[in-house]
Amino acid sequence: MNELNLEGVEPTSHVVDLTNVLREDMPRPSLDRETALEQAPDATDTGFRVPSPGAS
Amino acid sequence: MSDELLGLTAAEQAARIEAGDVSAGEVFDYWRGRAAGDEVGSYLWVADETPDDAGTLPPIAVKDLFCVGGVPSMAGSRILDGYRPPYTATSVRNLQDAGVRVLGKTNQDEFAMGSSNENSGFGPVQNPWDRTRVPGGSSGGSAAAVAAGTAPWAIGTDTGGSIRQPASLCGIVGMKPTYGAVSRYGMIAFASSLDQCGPLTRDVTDAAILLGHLQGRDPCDSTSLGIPGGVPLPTAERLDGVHFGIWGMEEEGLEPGVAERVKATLAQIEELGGSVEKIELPHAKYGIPAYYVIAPAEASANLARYDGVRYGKRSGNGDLTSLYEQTRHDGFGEEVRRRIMIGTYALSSGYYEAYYGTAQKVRTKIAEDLSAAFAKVDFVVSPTSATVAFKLGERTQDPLAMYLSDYFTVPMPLAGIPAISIPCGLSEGLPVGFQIAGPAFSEARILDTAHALEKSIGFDGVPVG
Repeated sequence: MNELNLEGVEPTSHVVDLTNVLREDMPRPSLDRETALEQAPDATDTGFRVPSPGAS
Repeated sequence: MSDELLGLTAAEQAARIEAGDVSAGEVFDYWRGRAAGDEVGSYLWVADETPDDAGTLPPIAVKDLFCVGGVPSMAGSRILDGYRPPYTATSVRNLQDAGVRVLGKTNQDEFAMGSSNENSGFGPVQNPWDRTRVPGGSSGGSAAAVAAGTAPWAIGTDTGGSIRQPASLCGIVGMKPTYGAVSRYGMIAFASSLDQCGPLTRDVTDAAILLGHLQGRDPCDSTSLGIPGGVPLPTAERLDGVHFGIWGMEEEGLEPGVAERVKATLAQIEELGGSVEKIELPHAKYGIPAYYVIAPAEASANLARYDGVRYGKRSGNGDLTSLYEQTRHDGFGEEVRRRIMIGTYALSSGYYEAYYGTAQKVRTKIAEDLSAAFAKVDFVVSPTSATVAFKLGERTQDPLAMYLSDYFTVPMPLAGIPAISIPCGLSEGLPVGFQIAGPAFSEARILDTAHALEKSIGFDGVPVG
């Protein structure tokens, strides 16, 4: 790629001509806590459990 | 009736269901039996019972990386071993709403990174035409299932060729739609600016039906647009006045047998009233280097989420650092680790502009080449793959040779445009694919063209019963 002269070429970060697709800020239902925790390797009733960052 | 189903396209089976000759439940039962008897490693999971509501259309094989609620969805990776997502991808949900039920989850290269299906965390897939050969990848399981008659139709994803290349190597139809045609919500992400879902089918009509159900704007994917005007069923039988641009026939590494089949297809285009001229895509050869910067860069960010905390596999010796390190070391395969490291390096401070920035500019040049081509011709055509299916193990020790498998398919996702691969005959007894690419959202015209050509080619698409 370094053999090309790319001076002044605009980079393509996205191929579709879209800007700022917005939706109404409406509350909608999301996963309940139990479902969200179901697939965790280790969890409490209220959150994911990991070793303490302070422990060595 | 049952064994008769094997010889029918999905559309023909749907017609039998609608006519009352057979029930959707019986059709599901039949295909569940076929899928359970899979001998080439296509499936990672097969439905264990026929649903009470079996829908109205034949069931579908779904690439493993689509999230399907309550069904194992692991993207072919050990790091997601046993993961059963709590929700379903919009694309799959759209199919379910249209009356299509999920038959099984198909094997794939891990996180869609590969061109031979040999990077799966759950073992390779064999090509049904020759079991010592690869089915292509990354949607290798989906392609092999359709070719082997263990699924009536399938869906996969294409990032650099992952639908079209396996379709080519397995002798079936595969289509990558325009970026944004189909929602990516619930598709386990590889490279988000390139990934797109599409059909793998026995014929062009089945591909059109599936794409018609898959496409649509989705509030859960802000890059999705759907296909304006939808996807009408293809009817064309002639190509009068249609102008084709052929490229890449002088590429080093193009097998003579593949070139011969492609030339014969160009002759058929002319017989059907179309015209063919040679075109140049001067920057196409930079597609592979640009792709192998952009895709790993985006993957390195997307795959940061697999850390053993919220889902999937967890390793480590009890402290937090080793949890992260060991989980990612044990869970990811070699190719995925390689791409995460390449991508992380390409995005690192001081190198971003030199690698990712440069690749994005090359991407612009490739898109400009294609736009210039479409100012002259209606479609850009080429072989889908430079070679027929290669031997299992042949390219695993040489990542660069493997990466070049996508030479002909990489420019289209970089430009975001749609392309189809249809079988155009055999070379050395193995299928050859013919690729037709068009401008953004030209799916209906591509399918019509492919339909006319498919009829004229008359490829016998079912190798093994």
